[in-house]
Amino acid sequence: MRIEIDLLTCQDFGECVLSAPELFQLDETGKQFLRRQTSETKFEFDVAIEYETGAEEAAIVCPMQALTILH
Amino acid sequence: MSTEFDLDTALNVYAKGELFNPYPLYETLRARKEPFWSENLGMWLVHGFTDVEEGLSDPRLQNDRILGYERSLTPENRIKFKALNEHLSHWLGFEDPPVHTHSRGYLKEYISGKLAIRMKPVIQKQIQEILAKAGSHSEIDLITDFAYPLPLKIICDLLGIESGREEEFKELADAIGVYPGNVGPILNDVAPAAALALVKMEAFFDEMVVKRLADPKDDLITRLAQLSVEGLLSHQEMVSLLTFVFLAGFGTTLNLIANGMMLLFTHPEEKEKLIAHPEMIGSAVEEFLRYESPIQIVARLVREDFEWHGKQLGAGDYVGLIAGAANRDEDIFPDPERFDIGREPNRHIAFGRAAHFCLGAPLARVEAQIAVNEFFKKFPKAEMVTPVPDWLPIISFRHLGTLKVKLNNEN
Ligand code: HEM
Repeated sequence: MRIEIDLLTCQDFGECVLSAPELFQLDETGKQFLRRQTSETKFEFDVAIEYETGAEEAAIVCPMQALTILH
Repeated sequence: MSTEFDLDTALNVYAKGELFNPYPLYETLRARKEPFWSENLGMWLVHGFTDVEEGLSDPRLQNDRILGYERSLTPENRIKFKALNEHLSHWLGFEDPPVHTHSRGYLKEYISGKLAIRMKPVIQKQIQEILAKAGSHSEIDLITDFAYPLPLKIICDLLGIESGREEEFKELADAIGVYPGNVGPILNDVAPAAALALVKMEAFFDEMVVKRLADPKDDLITRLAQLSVEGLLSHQEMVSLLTFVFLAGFGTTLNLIANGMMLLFTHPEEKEKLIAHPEMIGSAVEEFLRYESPIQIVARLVREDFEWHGKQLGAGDYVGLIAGAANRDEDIFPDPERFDIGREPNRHIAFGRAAHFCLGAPLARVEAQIAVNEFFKKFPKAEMVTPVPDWLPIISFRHLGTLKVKLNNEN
């Protein structure tokens, strides 16, 4: 599974961190950690099979719907 | 100028709830970039996206609006209906921190993303039953035969209302809901029926709680009943929260599904796009939420006098944060009047923001996504029969009365 985060839409609520702490973190300023990984507005990465359920949950709970499962 | 005259007329019609296309009014008021005092409604109206967003996070605007209700009751009624105001004061949507933080935490344990995922197969099963029943008719009303039964069943399931008692529970909750749904002196007239329903609701839950404590189930009644045994919630708080969750989650989801279906029928190109690309359902539902937001107005009460965007707000004033107007703000959404099921990004504010952000958003999204896609999978040739959208005269909700469709079912 691959997941895409739209960093323009993401408002750093942090709900994804509760659902999938292995995949998402907020940095010390409360911002989505993945912002540091790229200057692009979108970022995508592979999800290991054991974290797929967490990723699916994160995509559903994201208040801004900034996460997309790409399969 | 004639626009001023038109504005007054529009505002009068609006206050009666009869402005069925409120968007030109919203646009006119949004252009002023300041809160607008409506004498008719006795409320400040806020229309711009950033202002509404700001308002939802400003602690000077509180959710506790009990004062507004008490103030409208006669002194005798204030005493007579004390229990009703007390009941309302424990609704999550009427609480502020620190109490709100605790109550929200209790609900959040249960109404979570996990719940939405767990409910998916239940939603699928329900929708197949609903569609099978619809399929035996050539014409149906999408409100009563489609958008109504799904969220009713799902929310009752989540709460733990026994099968067969959903309508009884809904009648009671609706009767209570009439009271907070009104403002002004009319509250004196609607309070007696609401108070009576509350007494019956207490009895309804007394019975359920005894059953669930003896035989626990995986539902919200069991969870809250256990918290109340542990002394973390009073019995009244529990009854309030259960009633509130129903009222927060039923009509809103019904309207999301119904409004989405209406939008697709009135935008046939977008409908065909979705039928050809059902994977677009995620962004399509977000666009339903933006374009015809089920909750148009999110209410707050001014906690203390302060100046906001050039206007002096007084302690105790009502403020209406108009999500429906914010969601058409041209500064945020390019071409806001265009209904675009692929719109991206879509930062709409239909579920609110910040501390009171809708707890049921994941569930509502999943319900609407499954319902709409399954409908068009089964009835791709369905046509709308109702000639123009039949909006009900309610200012704070976008709620259709009927939505007749011919199914054109070939099998
Ligand atoms: C399309 C459907 C829905 C819409 C448009 C909607 C909208 C909203 C909005 C705008 C708020 C914020 C109110 C405020 O800031 O004062 C809210 C709060 C809330 N909603 Fe929803 N809602 C929907 C469905 C649901 C469902 C299905 C549930 C329950 C399963 C639910 C439960 C809640 C709760 C408990 C709150 C209160 C949160 C708090 O005050 O902390 N909602 N909703």
